[in-house]
Amino acid sequence: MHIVTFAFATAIAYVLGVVSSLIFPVLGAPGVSGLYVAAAIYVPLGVWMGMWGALAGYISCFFLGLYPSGYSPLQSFVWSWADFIEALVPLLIFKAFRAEPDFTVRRPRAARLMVLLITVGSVLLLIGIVVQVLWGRYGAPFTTFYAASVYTGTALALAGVVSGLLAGRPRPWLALVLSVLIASPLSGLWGSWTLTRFNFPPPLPAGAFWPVFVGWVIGDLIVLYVFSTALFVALTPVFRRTGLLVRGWWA
Amino acid sequence: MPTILGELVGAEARSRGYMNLHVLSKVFLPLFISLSLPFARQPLQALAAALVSVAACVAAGVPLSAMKRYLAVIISLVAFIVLAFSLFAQVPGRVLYEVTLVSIHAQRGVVEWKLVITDTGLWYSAAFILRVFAMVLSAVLLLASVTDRDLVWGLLSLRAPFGASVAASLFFRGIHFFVSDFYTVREAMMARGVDFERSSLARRFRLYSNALIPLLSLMVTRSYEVSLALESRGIAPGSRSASGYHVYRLRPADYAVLAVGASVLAAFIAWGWLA
Amino acid sequence: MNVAVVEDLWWRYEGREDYALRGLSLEVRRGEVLAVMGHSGAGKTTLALAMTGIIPQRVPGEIRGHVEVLGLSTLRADVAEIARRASIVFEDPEVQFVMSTVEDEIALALEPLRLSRDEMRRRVLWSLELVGLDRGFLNRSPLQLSGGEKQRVAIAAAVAREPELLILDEPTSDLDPVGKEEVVAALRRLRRELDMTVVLIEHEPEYVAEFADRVVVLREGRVAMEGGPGEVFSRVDELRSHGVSPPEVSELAARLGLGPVYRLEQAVERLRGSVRALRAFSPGDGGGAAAGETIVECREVRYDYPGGVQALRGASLEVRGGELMALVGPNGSGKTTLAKVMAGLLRPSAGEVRVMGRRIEEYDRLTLSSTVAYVYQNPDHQIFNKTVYEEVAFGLRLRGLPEGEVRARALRALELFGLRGLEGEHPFFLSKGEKRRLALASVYVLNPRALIVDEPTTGQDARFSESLFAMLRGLAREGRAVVVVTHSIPLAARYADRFVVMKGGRVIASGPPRRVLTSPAADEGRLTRPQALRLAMALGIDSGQAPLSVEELLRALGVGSGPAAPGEQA
Repeated sequence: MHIVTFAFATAIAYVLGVVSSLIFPVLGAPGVSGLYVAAAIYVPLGVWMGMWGALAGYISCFFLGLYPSGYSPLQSFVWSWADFIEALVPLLIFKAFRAEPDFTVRRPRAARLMVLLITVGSVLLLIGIVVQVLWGRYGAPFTTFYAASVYTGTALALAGVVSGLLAGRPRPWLALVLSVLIASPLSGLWGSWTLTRFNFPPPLPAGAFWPVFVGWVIGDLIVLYVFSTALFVALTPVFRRTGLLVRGWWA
Repeated sequence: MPTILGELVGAEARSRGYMNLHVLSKVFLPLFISLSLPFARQPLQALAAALVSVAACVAAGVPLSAMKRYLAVIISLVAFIVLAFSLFAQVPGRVLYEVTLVSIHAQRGVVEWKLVITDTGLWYSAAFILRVFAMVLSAVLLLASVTDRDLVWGLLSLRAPFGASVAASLFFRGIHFFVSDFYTVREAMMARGVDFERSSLARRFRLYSNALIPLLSLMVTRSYEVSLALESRGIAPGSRSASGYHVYRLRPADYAVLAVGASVLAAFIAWGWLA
Repeated sequence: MNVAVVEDLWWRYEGREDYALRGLSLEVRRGEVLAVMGHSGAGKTTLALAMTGIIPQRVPGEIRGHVEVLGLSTLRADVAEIARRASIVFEDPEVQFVMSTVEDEIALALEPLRLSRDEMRRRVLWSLELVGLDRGFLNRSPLQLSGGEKQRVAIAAAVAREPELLILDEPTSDLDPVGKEEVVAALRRLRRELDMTVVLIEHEPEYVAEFADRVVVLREGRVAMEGGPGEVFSRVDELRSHGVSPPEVSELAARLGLGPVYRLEQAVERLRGSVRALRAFSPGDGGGAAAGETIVECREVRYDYPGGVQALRGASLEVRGGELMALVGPNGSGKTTLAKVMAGLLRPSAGEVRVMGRRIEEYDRLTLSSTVAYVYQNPDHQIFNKTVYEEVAFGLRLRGLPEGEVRARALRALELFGLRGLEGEHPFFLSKGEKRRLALASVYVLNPRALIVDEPTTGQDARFSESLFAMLRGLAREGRAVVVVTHSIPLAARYADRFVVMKGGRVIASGPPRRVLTSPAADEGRLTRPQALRLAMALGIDSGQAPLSVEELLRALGVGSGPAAPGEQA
């Protein structure tokens, strides 16, 4: 049943990827979406079904690269590891934490607050860091902006983490928060890198790295915190009772 | 039998001869073209790569209308590439046009964001854009000529486990099911009073996440039922075809196409090295 | 000699509290067709899965007891080994297809047998011919076939393996009348040409009567009745208590003391002498309840799907308050399209649609959906929330009602539809019937003037279907307009006030059920007449006076007088 679910989930992720990249594009970077809803499928799938989720992320992205993005098969082959990473990281974190996927919500308000706070906080943090990396050497006002965004973003994100811990069982909620926080920039890094700096050949000029990276990560943060959380809460019981939940890596 | 692009947007390769080739030929030819692209750095080389891709598509009978679907992508890529070489990065050369967009007086200097168009920048842009054409055409060639049956038969003839070939087939079936389910669920939400266009962004987020719930529930239900059906036929994921029913041999035309593809790649490698 | 033996089988699915099978014992004899009937949830499909070894080997749960199929224990022999000798065809043909062509689908089913290529090819062609499909189907995609064709391909894939045991799990359930006929014809050929043991799980008593050598009735995981069709179907009240309907002729025969009768031709034979009494019967036009104001009106509506398919070609219709209307016709006649146009989900290419006298375009989405509600055939498409309560409350919250009112109305709706106590349950784990009731409750709670329900009884047992129609009739009597798109003609004939027949995108007949079912429109619309009516027509009764149900037939014979049975036409 896992293979069948994996095949269907890959198809769903592919169609959602196509829709997302057409409706919410990051301009000039085909296949990159400001709201990549497909991630909301294969990232939870990685937590529920292990490596099947990571594979679903890879394959759906590979076909997305071909259509409608227009990347060559080889470029797509290299680029698609971004989504593999994006599903693999949460899987590794949940295993490292020995966190059972159990997102029973005890305090709905805390859960909703968590999503809002951590999304806004993470986005602020990201923008601040990018500004600092690109223009920090010029000092104020860039460093001022950086400091403000770090303090504000971190405070909001921390408040979000606390809300998450109050929402239900602490361990899986904490694992979820960290998963998204780590997976999004890592996958964004690979994805943007292979679109602009390293591929056979990179389809975009090197100068496009930062805009693509920022668009990618922000989009992923929003999608994963908003949509994935909702799916984890709503569908974990379904995956558990149907026997689809995987204890190992594949079964 | 619809091809992948045919299923999605109705564009398919029309050359019977090309469509009758082995799936390996139909996969490797676009792959050889795409492998040539890293060596096509100069505009002339990129132009040659684009022309080779066009020739391959014409030979395969891929309708030019397929490119219409990529038009938005190509236009946005072209614009972005030119911007990248004029806004995000300054390429040394003869300045054709220059304008300062933003100027910030920071603590340790002035940060200026300038749009600078140089002749070298345009040259680089041209090479990139031509490579984009070649890239898109190689993707079109692959998707407009490979059917899901090709993939499945190819896997079966290579004695791949049933799990792989059935998964490949189910991926394409899944696209069909999911697109249909997506529209039905969206319609069902409208039937309950949801007006996506008039909803605020926050509400739209909640509604779309609501829509994902039935889609994934349906996916799980279908997976369960399909799995039962497969098990009931004694199809185990790890077992392999022993019948040889799916005989899928390479023919002289396949070898010819593969040889042409390999030669094109070799030529670009040599040209890239020599240049 | 027994092909299968089930001994004291207990089975509980993982995560469930109740046992699906409770000490079930059964034998399947070589060469027979054993029909298995029972209400939804009785354990029929579970039994089928247990006989293939899928339970317990592939489905998690707890088992006690023993099942032996063709000498193989399902606890010890692998599923693949059993599958070489026993085949199963499931209810939904679509989920059985994984390949892109009919040929590949049947060939895949043969792969585990390790046959030669030539033998496989021979069997592919032979099995297709056996189910009445020609070679032209080999390269066609299974998903593009009609329902009947799909199910025949599924049967071909099962039969190509030349199994010693063939299990058919409600093979006609999901099909329209045309599809059912095609599959039944294929089954007739199979019966004639192959010597195979068949277990047929079926709701339709007429098909059971035609094919079965022996009938077993399950109830709550146990065998409740067993015997030849004549014997089982003659115990009408007992059957009904188990949620199973006998053929109408059996019910009639039991009430008339005619002895075991379970086929139409037997009933004709026995009743020829009573025809004079029947001719005195004058049931009237059977117009049902008087209809109120017009809620939805369609005039010359046309609809073309992208791709050029003309689904509606000038359909005109009025839907009135207080009326239960059955919208009938073969698949592809435009019923669902018209229903969606009336609900404002599809915009017609031409023509006019008015709701409560106003053009439908003048309505906003929220108001329209509060006035005309639509319930989908597959309730899974319209369940968006993670608990039953939230599902019912969804529409109310969308309209910004205060939480107190939301709670009150939602709980009332849950009570009305028998879902009280399931508020916190995840909809995914509800039974099919519960999901359907949830879908109804979630739109009923919006208090619509018109309710359109698309094929609510497909795949449901007689008891549920009857109760659903009764419920819909109750909603109509509240003054709402209720439109049911359905293929269950006999049931609709008992409950509906009006039949509207569609064919080729047009309305070809509209009127009381009796008038429509005795007119040529019924043949044109490929409607399956109730068995009582067919009996009357076979006996040469004046069609304008023909009884539509067993109750009417009995009253005509002066038997079983008194108030009309529930759902009975006045």
